[in-house]
Amino acid sequence: MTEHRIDILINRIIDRVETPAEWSEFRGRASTEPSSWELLAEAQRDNERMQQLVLAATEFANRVELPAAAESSRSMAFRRSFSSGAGWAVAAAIVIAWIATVPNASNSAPRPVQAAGLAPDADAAWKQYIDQGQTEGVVIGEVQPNVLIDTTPLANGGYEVVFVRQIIERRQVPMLIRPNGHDEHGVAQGAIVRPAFRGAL
Amino acid sequence: MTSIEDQVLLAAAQSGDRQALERLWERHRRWIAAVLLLHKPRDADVEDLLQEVAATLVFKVDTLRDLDTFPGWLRSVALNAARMAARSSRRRSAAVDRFVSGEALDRVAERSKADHPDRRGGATKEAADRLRARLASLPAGYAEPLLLRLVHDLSYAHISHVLDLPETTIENRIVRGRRMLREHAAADLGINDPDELLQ
Repeated sequence: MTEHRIDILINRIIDRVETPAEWSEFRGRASTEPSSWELLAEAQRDNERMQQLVLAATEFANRVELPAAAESSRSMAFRRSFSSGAGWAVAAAIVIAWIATVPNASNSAPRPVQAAGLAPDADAAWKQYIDQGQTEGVVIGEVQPNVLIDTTPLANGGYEVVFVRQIIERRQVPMLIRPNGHDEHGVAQGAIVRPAFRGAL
Repeated sequence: MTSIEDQVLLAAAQSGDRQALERLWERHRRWIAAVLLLHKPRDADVEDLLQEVAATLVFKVDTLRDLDTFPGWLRSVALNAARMAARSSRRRSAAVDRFVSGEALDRVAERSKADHPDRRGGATKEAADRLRARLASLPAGYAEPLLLRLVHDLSYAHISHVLDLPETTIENRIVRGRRMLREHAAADLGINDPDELLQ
């Protein structure tokens, strides 16, 4: 049982997923049984060698690309989903929603076309967004009042205010993903949500 | 549980975004290669099998309805490719057995090897053979979790999702797999120095 426990601790340390309590437990054991350090070192060395072997054996995979002949098939799928009014714009909405967490996905997301007439300032751009959004049906409206976060008196009178603007938008998406914490490497995880009825989220 | 990045890429890929599909492939192809190495028949070319998986991904990604099952689906595509290769290998072998035997069979095998040299480099091929030999000492179900952990540092949660097993089972199998490998190391076929192999 004790041996099994030390195996588990060493395994977790090798995989860099040990908790501070587990690391303390290991150090505590090692202070009375110095051979534990040796076991850990050997296990780390074995793991490193095994990893090198695996990487060497699978290195060829980096040369295997998706078949180019499939381009036309993919294009057809694109046309199908585009003409049905479903896929492309909807997937783009999802991509936009998560764009901050996906460094390489931004290259593949369709980029919005820059409007010919630039708004003269941020407030005008904001109004333009609300108006155009309502026209297109993606903006339902702005929730009032704004949420005040901070106020700072200014030397020449008045205040600088920091606040949250709340917009209600309407989008159609192919799926709902709820952020679901992070794995032990800090990679964001998500779970698909299937509400049983309207508003079940 | 599929990672958010995968789900975003998958949604874009299903909508026809080729770059998203390529990125998705790049993120997964290495662990799929490891799964194929573990399950393929001895005489099958793993690179061909991986190419088959790539083709299936391209042609069938649209049919995947539940995006959450993506890693498991990809693994089952790889297992199917390996199974099909095993079947055709058995058929080929049975057909050859009917006409030739003994030395003649060896000569056919030698000639075949000369006509179709492995496309992978010698070191890679040797590494793959040694890896298979080493993992063969583990009971069924223990090699794959360990391999997936080693090939890409996949998290326990990810491996659990790919293999459809509880996370605690995955961790236990990795712990025991490593212990068994250590115990078998003494009887190993000179794999104690893979550094030499990798030169």
